[in-house]
Amino acid sequence: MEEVVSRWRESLAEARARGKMVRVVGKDSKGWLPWCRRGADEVVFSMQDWQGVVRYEPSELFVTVRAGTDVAEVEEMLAERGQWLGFEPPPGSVGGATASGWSGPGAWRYGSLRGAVLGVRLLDGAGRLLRFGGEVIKNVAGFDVARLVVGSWGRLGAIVEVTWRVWPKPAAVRTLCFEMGEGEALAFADRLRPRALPLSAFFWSNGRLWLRLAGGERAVAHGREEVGGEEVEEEMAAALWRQVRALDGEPWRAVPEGMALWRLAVPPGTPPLGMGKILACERGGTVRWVLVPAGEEGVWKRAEEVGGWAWRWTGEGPWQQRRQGAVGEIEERLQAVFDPEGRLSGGPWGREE
Amino acid sequence: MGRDWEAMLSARVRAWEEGERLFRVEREETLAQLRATLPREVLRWQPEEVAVYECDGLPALRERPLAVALPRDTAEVQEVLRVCARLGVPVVARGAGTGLSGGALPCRDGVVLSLARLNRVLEVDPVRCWARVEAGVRNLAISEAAATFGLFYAPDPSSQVACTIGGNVAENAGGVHCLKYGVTVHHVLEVRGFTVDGEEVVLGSTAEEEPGFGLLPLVVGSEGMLAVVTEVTVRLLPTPPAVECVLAAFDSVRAAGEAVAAIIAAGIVPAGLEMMDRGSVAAVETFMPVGYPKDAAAVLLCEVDGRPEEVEEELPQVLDLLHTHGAREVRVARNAQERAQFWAGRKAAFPAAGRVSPDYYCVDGTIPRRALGEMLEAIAEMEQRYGLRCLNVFHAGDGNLHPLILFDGSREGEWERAEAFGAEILERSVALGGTITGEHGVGAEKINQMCVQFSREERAVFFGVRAAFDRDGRLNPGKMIPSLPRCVEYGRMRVRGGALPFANLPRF
Amino acid sequence: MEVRAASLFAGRNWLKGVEEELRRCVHCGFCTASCPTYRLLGDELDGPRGRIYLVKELVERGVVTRSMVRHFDRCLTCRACERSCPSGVQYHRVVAVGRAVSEEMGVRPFFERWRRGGLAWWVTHRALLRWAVGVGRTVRPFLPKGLARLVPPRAPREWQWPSVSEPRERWWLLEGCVQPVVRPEVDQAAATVLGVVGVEVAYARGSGCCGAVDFHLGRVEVARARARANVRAWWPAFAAGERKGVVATASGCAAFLREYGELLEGDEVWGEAAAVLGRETLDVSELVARFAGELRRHGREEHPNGRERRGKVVFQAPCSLQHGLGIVGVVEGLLEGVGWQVVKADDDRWCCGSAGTYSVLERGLAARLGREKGETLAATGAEVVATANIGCLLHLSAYGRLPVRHWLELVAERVAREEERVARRRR
Repeated sequence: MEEVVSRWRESLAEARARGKMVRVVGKDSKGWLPWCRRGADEVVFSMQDWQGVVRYEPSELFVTVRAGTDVAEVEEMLAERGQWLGFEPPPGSVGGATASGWSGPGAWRYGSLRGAVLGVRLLDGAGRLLRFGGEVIKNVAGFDVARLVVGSWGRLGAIVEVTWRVWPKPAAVRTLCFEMGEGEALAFADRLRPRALPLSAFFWSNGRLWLRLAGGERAVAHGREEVGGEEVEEEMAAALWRQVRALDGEPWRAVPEGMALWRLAVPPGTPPLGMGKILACERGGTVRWVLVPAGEEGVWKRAEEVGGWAWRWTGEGPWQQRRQGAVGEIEERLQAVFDPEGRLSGGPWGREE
Repeated sequence: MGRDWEAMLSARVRAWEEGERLFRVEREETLAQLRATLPREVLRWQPEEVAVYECDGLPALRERPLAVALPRDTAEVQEVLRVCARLGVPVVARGAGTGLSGGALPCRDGVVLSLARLNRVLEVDPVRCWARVEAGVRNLAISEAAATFGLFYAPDPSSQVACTIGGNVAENAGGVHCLKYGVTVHHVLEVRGFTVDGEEVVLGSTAEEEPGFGLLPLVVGSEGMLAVVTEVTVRLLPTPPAVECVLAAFDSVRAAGEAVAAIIAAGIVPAGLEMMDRGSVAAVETFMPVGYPKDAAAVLLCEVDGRPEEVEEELPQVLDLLHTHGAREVRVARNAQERAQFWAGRKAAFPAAGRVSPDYYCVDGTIPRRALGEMLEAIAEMEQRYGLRCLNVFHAGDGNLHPLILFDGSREGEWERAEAFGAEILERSVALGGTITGEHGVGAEKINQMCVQFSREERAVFFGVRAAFDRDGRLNPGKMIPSLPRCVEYGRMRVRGGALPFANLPRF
Repeated sequence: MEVRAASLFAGRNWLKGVEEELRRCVHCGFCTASCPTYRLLGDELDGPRGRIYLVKELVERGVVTRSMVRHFDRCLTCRACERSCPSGVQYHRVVAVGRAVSEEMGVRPFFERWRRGGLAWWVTHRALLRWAVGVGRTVRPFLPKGLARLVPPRAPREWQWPSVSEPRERWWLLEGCVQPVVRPEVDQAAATVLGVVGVEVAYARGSGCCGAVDFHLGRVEVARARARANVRAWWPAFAAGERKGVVATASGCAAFLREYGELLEGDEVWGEAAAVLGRETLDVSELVARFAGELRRHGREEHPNGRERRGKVVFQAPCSLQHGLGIVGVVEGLLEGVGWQVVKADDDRWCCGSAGTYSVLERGLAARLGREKGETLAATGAEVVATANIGCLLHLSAYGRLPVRHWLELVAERVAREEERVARRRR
């Protein structure tokens, strides 16, 4: 630990001396995202070598891991004890997943990565080593800084260690496929939501809806009868969910020339947005991937109209809008608490002057 | 980002480190101003009136506020906050006053802002599966309103009949079904409210994620120190069609603990998993005979829910594990009524302690479950040393332990002994890898133990976070974050073995 | 909670009891959720925990203020809070001390004292009340709506007390104050129903109002005098074994009679007798329930298959019945037994707002509660509301939409009809 701390302080000192910013990098698995491109004026701090599982107690339902550890490695270890990360973090390093705050398809059932973070150790912009949260599920001592750090893209500091909640692996998993359009799929999601079904993932794209059921053998069998659809072969289904989870392949990585990919988070029950070309819907329709001509800025407003918010996925920034008014000011002040000199860079918000 | 903010922040942190009191109020003049600005219907200031608000569910800590404001709508909440901002008066928000950590303990020179009158359920949406309610709506009232649609609100603290959702948000309330369903932070989508200056804020989003930093989880559990919440949108879940509740009696607490570990190791996540020791069972049984076996050393309640076939699969497994781990009596609730009865006993466990003792002090540490045996032995030893009895109620699924220390407040020195007893339990929880509070919050009560769980730098960050929302620290001052001198003094005292009474330490 | 009583109250006979209750309270706040006035007003001062705290203030500081009295006044004494209290605090004992001490310390302005005293006097004097009701009925069409509501519209019918040949049991029937004037039919129904099963009831000469009205207005001495008079009237026949005890047709009175022992504690002459009689007091539902099997016969005759029921009734259990006496589900069973279909209303633990003289003294709150209750009762689709206390009956009639009867009247009608039918068949 000491080695990491002193290395971090050195990077901060170097940046200060040369008037540069510091960017934290893990396995660089998100390097393809436009806001993860390194600037010329940045000192890169790598967590890549800071690896290993610190503590894992299957009966306590948590795992504490160093930030540079590969998510896949953690999952392998959990699988040996019949457990898994229900929220399905993106591939890459544990620290990177936490800093991005992304959750995979399983978040529909198990809640987001943010909810699953029980504690973090953080090196902040002032060079302090801080620990928030802990290793127990119920913990309300102090402000919940651990969850604030989730999705902060390195702007509040470098995540050194994370404690995640884990779940027992469901005995049976089955994926069903339905031929239906966007509107039909969203209406279907509205019908599914209030029902007690063992659903664990929802993904619609290109005229097809995939539903994943997970739970006990009999519950899944019953659920399958209740929702209908065509069963997908296990391996093919696994490949599909892996792709969705990694945002790998068609809709995300192959954006046509002159177009921009947007991700919209919208409230459940929002009808089709009727904007651009809908590529995919996730999590019961609360996440929508839309293709619009590059330079089209009306998306921000459209998202706001339906009570959601937009995230530009490709092209030039800013990729996300900062909130205005009192909340925006609070965010700025919060950042200054962790990074008083304003030396940390990262995240889709662009740099404030 | 202005330089002035940074300068202000460092000045504040310095002042805080020196333990300086950050505001001073002219009582008479302030009161006159408040009376002149706010309608009579909204303000209480006479001594006997404010006395009623001098404490919450932890009556050992009391402080009479300058005045109590009872706004009838959000506009009046904003008005009260603006007036207080103008006058520089601290504000302590309050819901039903059922908290157990003194989180709503008033500030002597401040205003108590009761949100109990904001008690309308604004919307229950059965398709989007959410409920939009005002902060003063009772926790149980949400589930009652949602029941028509076959939905419910999952977090269910024991005080759910009375506690408000606003208070739940402030404390990040848990309950008996946390292991499976999570706590308040997992079920709140969006909150609306005001900053200390009366500026409107919306945190979180019904789109389930919020852009930018995660401010919602920061405000949930912030003990009313960051913002005043007036409206909450919560997620509703489909009511599980099948529920089974098992009551098991054990001859030793250790055996019960092992049964719990075995159930979880088997891949079952029960909806509820509660343990009570002999003393708490006896207390409950004298008050409401719900049929707990009185002579057992530990009683375990285990609830499994879900679809009928899920429950059918899990229940026999649970029964089997209970038997193989030495349960000497296992009873499955025959119907909903009996199940409700099993739970009624558990939910009344705290106040039922009031039947066997004039006062009780409820402690709220969380420990890794495996450390339960060690912890209970330590508590038994402490009972001897402090000369006080202790009943134990345990959220066995998630490691949240509630020792109930029995004392008589009218006897000289007993409360101080109880407090020291509780403090030692909490510090032991930290030492065992746990935390000083699982669901009741730090409040005014566990402020000393914050010095043990967090470093000076971490406490400084808490202070900074708070200042980012509330520059002067006027919202619920004196809670959660101890000042540096306080921790120094507390550290010295602990070295001397906790023999000193700490009643004379200022609680700010 | 800890309590340290002011030296001013040292040695007072109520002190020990109230100290005990206050110390039993752990300030958890569960009670607030069950309190009708807290729900309406949202102020802890108007909830049980707040009032307990006010009494604590009073006991500790020895000071009563106008505002304290106002909050004691606003309490309905419905005792719903006691049912939800996990620590077993007997709240009504606490608030009673608050009321009695504040009355004694005399902080009310003259007009208020006069109004309350006058009301108690008026209500508890049958002749006066009868005259007033008579006048009220004559001028009813000309009265303002608010006042007209309080005047019962029907004049009593002529009726003959049934004679029971060779009764198996004999009981005193509490005559009471308001009920015999505005609804004599209730006691007539009681006599009929009990007569059918061979129980004879009678009023005792010299007995009268139970004293609850005075007691709840803080006039403890007047209440004690009334209690003494009643005990004196009932005791000889009871002691001789001629009468088994006292039965009351208003649950509020029954609940109060139960506490006679406490009320007359320390009374050298009647103290012990009061305690014994208090224990031998029944609400009429308890007495009728003892013979439910025989009554049910009547219901079954009318509906041979026993499944089809006629008439939909909703029973609004008075607080004195469900919270005070803890009688739950008994009346519903009796009504079903004679063939009524009993439906359940939402929030049936809430007070209707009558609460004795409360409906007059705190008219605003009482009316809000009454109207709300009226709506929930109407929403059940019942054709008639049954209740078990005269206060509730009048209040619900004034503010609700459905006709309101004492449950005994409903039972008596079925029983009488059945008797007639049987007699006809015999002819």
